[in-house]
Amino acid sequence: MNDRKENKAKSRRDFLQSTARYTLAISIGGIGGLVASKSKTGDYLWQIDPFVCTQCGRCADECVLTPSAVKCFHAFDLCGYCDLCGGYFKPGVMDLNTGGENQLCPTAAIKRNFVEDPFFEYTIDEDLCIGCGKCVKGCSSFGNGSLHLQINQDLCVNCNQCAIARMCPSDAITRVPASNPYKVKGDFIKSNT
Amino acid sequence: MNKNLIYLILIVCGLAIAYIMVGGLFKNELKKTTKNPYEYDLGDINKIDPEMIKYKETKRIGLSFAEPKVVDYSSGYLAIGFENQLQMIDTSGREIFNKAVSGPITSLKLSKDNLIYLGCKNHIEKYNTNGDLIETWQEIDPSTYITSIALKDDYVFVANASGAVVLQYSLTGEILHSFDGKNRTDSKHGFIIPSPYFDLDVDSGGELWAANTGVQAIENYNLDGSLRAFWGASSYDLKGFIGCCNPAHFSILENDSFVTCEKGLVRIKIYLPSGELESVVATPDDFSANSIPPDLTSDEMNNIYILDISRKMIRKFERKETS
Repeated sequence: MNDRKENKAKSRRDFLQSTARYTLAISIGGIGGLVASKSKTGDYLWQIDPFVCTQCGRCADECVLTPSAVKCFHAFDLCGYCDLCGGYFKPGVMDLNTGGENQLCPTAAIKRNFVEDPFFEYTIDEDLCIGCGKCVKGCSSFGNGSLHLQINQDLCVNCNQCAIARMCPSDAITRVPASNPYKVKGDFIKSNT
Repeated sequence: MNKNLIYLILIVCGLAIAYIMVGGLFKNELKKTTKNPYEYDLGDINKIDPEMIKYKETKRIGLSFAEPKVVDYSSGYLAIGFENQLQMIDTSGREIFNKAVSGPITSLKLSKDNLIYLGCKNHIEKYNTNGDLIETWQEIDPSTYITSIALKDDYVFVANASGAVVLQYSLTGEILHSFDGKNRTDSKHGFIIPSPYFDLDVDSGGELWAANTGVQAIENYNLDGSLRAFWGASSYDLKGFIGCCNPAHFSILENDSFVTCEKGLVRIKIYLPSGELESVVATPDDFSANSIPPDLTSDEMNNIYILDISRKMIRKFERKETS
């Protein structure tokens, strides 16, 4: 009877010890897993594939930031530096001047500067750009597609689930390694996709 | 508590959860199809007055190889260059020969004596009408990108888009001269070639014409590379060329008019030798959206043959009969 009591007591002690040990192990494992998963998430960032993007306009409105972390980037090496720039001018304009009524960008974020005859340079004012992609559509319709959308990683808060990616109709936004955070045209060519 | 009441509450909860889940899914789908508030609206620029369209499509010839690139016509035959294949057909579509070549084919010219000059990126290959390789000319340099070949008497003119120069060869493949169009008195710039569209052709008087796509002009050059004349304007208007790199292709008809092809908004138009817009051959509606600008050529009757790259076919356009 006493032995049984002793065994029972030992079992309870063992049980408590085992429980404590397993609880500790699970906690450490859980914390380790969480840290590992956090660090893995930190190694990847959201980015737009410019060759998949259809300039649907959602990047401007769906980002949790206002204005959006998506901005227009300009691959100068692809640009024709044209007088009549499809990304700068509204279709059908007659006068190629910087009048607001002629500009395609809804926020006048593209600056047109005369370089030398017949070249004009187009630069993006990121503070004004809302990432609507209207200029990108114009550029790819009539030009070389040098204007394209990218998520500015300096602005992006890297949400666990990117609100724009969730709404992107062409699934152009995916995770990319933090070591290679941009898919800028020129460096990044279609065959790389 | 009443058992039935509990069941009722559970069913209501279940339905509420299902509604939230399924409703959420549909909401997402709806959002994916919502209208773009920043839609790029072409407006009226892709609308063309039907009165201006003076050509009709009369024939389509399907192509059997992948990746058609370039086309040319001479003496009843059409030569088509694919990525790594050369094919010759007659105008009914009957194959004369096809031959695998090293490629990549980037331009092609059929001579009056039925020799085929093939621009293979950075060198020229010469074939006869049986498809036999006659000569391979020396490679220019690795960065060369040959986009057009034109023939005049004893000379072969070759457009190198990457260097924005025209090379003048002898018929045996010796480079005699090259020019970049800069030796003009009225302007500092020469050829401005922002993308690999740089076409050449020779008119009935033996004059060499080149498409200076960066300034949307077609320019006439002397043999020494000096500019003689030019026409063309950058404009959204039908009379001009839109954006950069236009006209992407052109060909000179028997009556020395020009047939041009634009990239972006694919429009095939006829210009008089003076550069005045005469008519429209094909409109953007005749091509798939985002089409690659098609190469084109013409026959002795001024019929236009368009290489529709997206649809993998040659489309023949003839002038409508006027009443």
